[in-house]
Amino acid sequence: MSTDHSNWNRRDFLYGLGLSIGAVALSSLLACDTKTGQLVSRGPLSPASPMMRAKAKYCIFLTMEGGPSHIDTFDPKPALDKYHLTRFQRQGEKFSAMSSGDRYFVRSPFSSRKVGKSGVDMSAPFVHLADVADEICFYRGCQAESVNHPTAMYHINTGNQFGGEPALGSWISYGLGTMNENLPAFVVLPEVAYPQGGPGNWSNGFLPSHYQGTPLRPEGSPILNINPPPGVSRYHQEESLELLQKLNREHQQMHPNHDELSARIENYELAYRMQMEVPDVIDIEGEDEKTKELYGVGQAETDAFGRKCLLARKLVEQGVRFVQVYSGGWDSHDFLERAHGNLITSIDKPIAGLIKDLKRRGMLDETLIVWSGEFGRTADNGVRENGVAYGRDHNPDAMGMWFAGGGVKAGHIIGATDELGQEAIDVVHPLRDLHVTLLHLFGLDDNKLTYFHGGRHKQLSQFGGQVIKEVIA
Amino acid sequence: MNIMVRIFPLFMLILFFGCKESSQKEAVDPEALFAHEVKPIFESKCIGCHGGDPKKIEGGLDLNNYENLLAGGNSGKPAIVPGKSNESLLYHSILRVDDDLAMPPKDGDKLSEIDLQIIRDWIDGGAPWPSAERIAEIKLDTAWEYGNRIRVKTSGGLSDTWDNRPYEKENLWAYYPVEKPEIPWGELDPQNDHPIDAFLADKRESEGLSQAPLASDLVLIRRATIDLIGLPPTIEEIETFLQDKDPKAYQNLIERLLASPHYGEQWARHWLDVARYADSGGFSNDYVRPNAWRYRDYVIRTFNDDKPYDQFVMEQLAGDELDPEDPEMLIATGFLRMGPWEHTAMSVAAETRQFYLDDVTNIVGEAFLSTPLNCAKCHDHKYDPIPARDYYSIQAVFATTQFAERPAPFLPEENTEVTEFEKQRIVDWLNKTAEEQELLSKKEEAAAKQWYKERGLTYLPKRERRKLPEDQQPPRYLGLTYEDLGYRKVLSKRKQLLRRQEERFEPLAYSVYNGPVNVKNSQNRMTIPEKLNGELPQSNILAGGSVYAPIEPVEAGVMSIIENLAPEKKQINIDISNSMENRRLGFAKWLTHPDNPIMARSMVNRIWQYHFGKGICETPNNFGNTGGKPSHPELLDWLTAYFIEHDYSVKEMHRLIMTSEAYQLSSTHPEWSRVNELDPNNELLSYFNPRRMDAEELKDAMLYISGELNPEMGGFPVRPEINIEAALQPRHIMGSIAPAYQPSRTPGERNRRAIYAERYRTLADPSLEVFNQPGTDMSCEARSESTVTPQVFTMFNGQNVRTRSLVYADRLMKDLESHEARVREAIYAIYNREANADEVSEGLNYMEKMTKYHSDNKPPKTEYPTEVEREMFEEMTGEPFTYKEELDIYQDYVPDLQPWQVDASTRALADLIAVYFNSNEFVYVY
Repeated sequence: MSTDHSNWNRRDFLYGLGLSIGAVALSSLLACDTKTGQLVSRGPLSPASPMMRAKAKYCIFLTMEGGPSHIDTFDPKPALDKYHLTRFQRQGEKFSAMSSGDRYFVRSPFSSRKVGKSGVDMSAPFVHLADVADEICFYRGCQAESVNHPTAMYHINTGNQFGGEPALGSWISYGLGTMNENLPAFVVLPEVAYPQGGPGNWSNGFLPSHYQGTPLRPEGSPILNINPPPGVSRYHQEESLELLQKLNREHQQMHPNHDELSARIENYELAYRMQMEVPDVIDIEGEDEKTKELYGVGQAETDAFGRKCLLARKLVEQGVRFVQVYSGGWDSHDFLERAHGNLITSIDKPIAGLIKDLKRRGMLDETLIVWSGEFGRTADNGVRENGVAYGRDHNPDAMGMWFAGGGVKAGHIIGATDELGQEAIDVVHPLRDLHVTLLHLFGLDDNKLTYFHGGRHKQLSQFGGQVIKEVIA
Repeated sequence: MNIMVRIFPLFMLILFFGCKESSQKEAVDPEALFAHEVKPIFESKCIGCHGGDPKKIEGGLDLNNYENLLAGGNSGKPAIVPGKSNESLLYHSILRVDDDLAMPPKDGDKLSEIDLQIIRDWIDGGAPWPSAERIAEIKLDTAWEYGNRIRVKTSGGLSDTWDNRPYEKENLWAYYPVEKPEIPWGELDPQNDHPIDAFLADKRESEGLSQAPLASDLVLIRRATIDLIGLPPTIEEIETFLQDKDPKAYQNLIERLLASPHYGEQWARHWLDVARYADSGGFSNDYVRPNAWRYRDYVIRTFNDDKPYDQFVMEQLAGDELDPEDPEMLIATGFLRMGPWEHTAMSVAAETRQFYLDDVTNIVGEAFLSTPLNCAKCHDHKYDPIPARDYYSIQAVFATTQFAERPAPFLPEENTEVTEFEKQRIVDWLNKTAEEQELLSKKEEAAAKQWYKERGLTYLPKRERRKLPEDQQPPRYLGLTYEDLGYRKVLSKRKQLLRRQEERFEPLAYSVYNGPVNVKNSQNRMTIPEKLNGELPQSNILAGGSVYAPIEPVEAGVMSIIENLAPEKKQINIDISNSMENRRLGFAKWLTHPDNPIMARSMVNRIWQYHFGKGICETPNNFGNTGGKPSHPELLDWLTAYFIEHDYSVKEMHRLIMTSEAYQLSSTHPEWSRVNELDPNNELLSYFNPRRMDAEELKDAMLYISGELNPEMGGFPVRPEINIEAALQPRHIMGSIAPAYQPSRTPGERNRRAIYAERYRTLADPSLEVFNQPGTDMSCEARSESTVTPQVFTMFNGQNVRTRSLVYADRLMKDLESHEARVREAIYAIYNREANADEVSEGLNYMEKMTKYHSDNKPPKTEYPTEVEREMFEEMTGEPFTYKEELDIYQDYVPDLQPWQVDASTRALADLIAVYFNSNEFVYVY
């Protein structure tokens, strides 16, 4: 065990801890090895230096739940025009309801154009994002594995299709701690409805629960029970806290060797402070009107996602390490034009606003923005209700994603999919390589960011992977 | 303790010379060392990147090339300087002192101490590089041994390198036969000596540590009671115990607790952690498993009846093969399906099937063999002598195992009580759903009729017109709005979910049968097909664990290392069937055979852990190389032998363990600083480890103290109140939002022990989760114990603690005459000791202030929502649409006592009780 807590060796300490101890701490003040009764001098969420030099310090991960179509967003396939509605049958070993029966190709309902100095592709519904095209690195080579939503979501979020493992945000928090110990290191801004697979998407898995994603719910109390119950005033709480702490201190004198008692005493003080402070931290009303406008807050079609993007910036500004923002409903098996059209509009201005805002605040360099779904979509579709459905099925072999800020190669398109967008063909990498790359951008080495559990040193990529060098500046 | 044999100096002497001997470099021929040890290390750890593929040699360093090693790779520094390990870059790299140079790159692959020592000795011995012929010649010497390193035989790995890999003998401790050791004190005085204490004292005294004094009777009764039944002792029980002058008072206490039916509830909970019990399947839809609860109750019965553990294991693995006519046997096999699993129209059947097989193989490994087998799924095990062949042979045991909800009449001992309301609401809801579906379909058909009419065509019903080409029928969705389309999906999903709910009350067992592969959509009840047509499944070793990459067929088998380490007379030799039937039975017979060392060892270690907070081996699911080493291996073996001799009786183990002094020690040690310095983790058990109550214990204790706990046992899952925001939190499922969580309607129904709460994989009770109730995806070998901030929000602000406090306050107001008596009673019931004068006056003082506060502040009346509005993103439009979901239970809800229903002083007393519930003295068990 290392005594130099400033360097990476703290994993040794966590190693021992991890066999039996977990926690959902919002604060590292309270890292207490309860089985040995030792209060540790630095907590699992204290900021730690990365393993290597890196630009990215914070991450805002924009998750498009349902699988956005790369073909209809950033990877246009004009060749589809000539195959439009041509029928065929698909074969393959990965048989499921989606791959059987009559299939036909579907062209994109959207036109596409080259935008920015770098001339990257964007479909017509993207209006505002074009302003910041030169900040973005588009990546077309990634491949998922699962064709099914929850397993694919678990895969991109946790590296494992079957859930139960730590999310990317948990791994990064584990590696780097947080810059604000009064807030969770890893915050999730979900849709009103939690995604398929539920909280498993932001689970700490086998990592100590300090690294669990904390959802800030868009409605109701952001953190459960953070507000006192009805009829309980501040005076009431203070009186109760005072008596409680007195009892706790007297009790501690009877058990002087039981160190976690003091951790629990401190915990009540901290919770009381957080109860006072958190509502202010997450309130976006204090932002000036221009900023709100920038994110589309107050406009019906962009308000919900705009609020989340603005809150994400505020959280990162406060030192939260990893913010995951959800946009749901991208599963367009049908009515692609309307569904994708509306969804693109709902995120277009907020995301452009986020990038502009971070840039003008000088935060874009150290904030990595990722935009991705759990898989891409097919160039073809199946018959639905005995009719042609202008939509697309799930496609793990090709997908679209992009990065901005945080040391990526801005204004570039990396990799390519085939003529129809069915399969990645250039700079092809599995999801695990994406994970390795994201960690790398944070100065973390996937092979070293391991945690011993279930008889193995586990890592985000599961078995190791390669950095996608092409996307790094 | 008078007959203690002090073997301490001798032991130290052996240790000393043992170390000395192995570091005598001249004793080892470096050439032989290279052939037997160094080369295999290079092959297993280095060659992959440094010499395996001549086209891909990292850093220009080729470990097949001696000249290259001497010259060095791209760095230009020699990798090896013969005779000088400290100047050799290779040695420097494997020591991992410099992060950039550390080799192998993955920390998890780092070389063991002994590997490092071998390479050092080889370099310091001149780093000889014998030819291939010379190596072959050296290897003829099969008697070669180095330190504790041994070669073992298994069913065979995927490479010779793996097969020839050495192991350190002590790392294989778990797989060797059980040898009952002599008790260190020799002949014991049955009045005063306890075998457990003899083993513990032996080691503790050798470290020069004393043991803590015995705990007081007050501490002991709380400890033993919470430990065995998961509830605190009542004031009456404490009084009775304190006044009991019988020298066997403590033994009698243990007997009373073991006879309590609550014992089974508490200890079943531990097993359900290992088995990952839940009432739903997880993933997209989190479909309910309507009959899983019968397995939960079966486990409770198992512990209460003290069913021999070997039988328990046998039934869970092969109950259906033992006796398919016995409902209990079918229920027991629910274990095999406890993991998360889902198959939908979107899933690939071959993959979901393989996911199941991997899951069941690993859980059998963790639960019964204390060996996580999935480490051998993609390749031969990196650390343990478990080849991928073993993994897939064990998997083959389950290759014919298929899912079914099998008819199994309810047993007289099962609780099948259910209110008419609970049954009827499902029926009502289904009817309502059908009505709404009917309305939509009428709307659609009306539009279709109109379409036909406009064209002068004859109307065709949907089923018939569907067969026609698209242009000869009304356009899709004609007559329906997008809201209608979205809501139609919501309704059809609701119907699926409710149908499964209905099955809950049918006498079905969540079970398995044997047959060809049969993967069905999880939304359906699984049944045994009338004809079991299909091929006998063939199991294969899968390259990289991929179902698409079979490389070699395997037959059903066992963990081969156990057979190979056993001497001939302890070989088990059970033939496992490779036909459709009885594979699991054969495997279970092997596993439960008295000569199989690991099943009993595994369970004994678990029992020990739940008593002491830590196992003799700290990783109860992992006895392998990467797991913990037993702190007292001889004690573990002795206990294991005792367990087997006593017919695998778990209760007998409790009696044995709890009557030891070790279990009865105080948690405070007079020589604390010394103990803390010499044994900071208390491995030697010089004192008793205090612990925080588990999540369920905390919750149950508060209900019990308040008098609300309905002690009814078993039965259909109940729904306690959980944080209402979490309960109503919309959860996206395929095409819909999961129905809202609503608590059971009346307090009696819902205020049951936590073990009876319905467990959804995607909706944990936040008040339990925050106190480390484990998730249900992975087996939980030991509860975590953390002190984190959301716990404060839960305990200080949350509804549960406040309601329990209020009910208890109300009861005390009615039962007792004075505030003083009430405060004294509350302290006694919550802290399990009498109050002192200061505490009472502080409590009264606080109450006075709070009474004044509450006189001025009337709490609002609680309103319960009777419907929720759900918002969904309709995938067709990409626009949100909303619908209302009725909350039927809240329409006629019987709440627990509410603050506005009682006077100010009752509320003040409730506040005081809430403070006690929040305090450390309540939360910790000493």
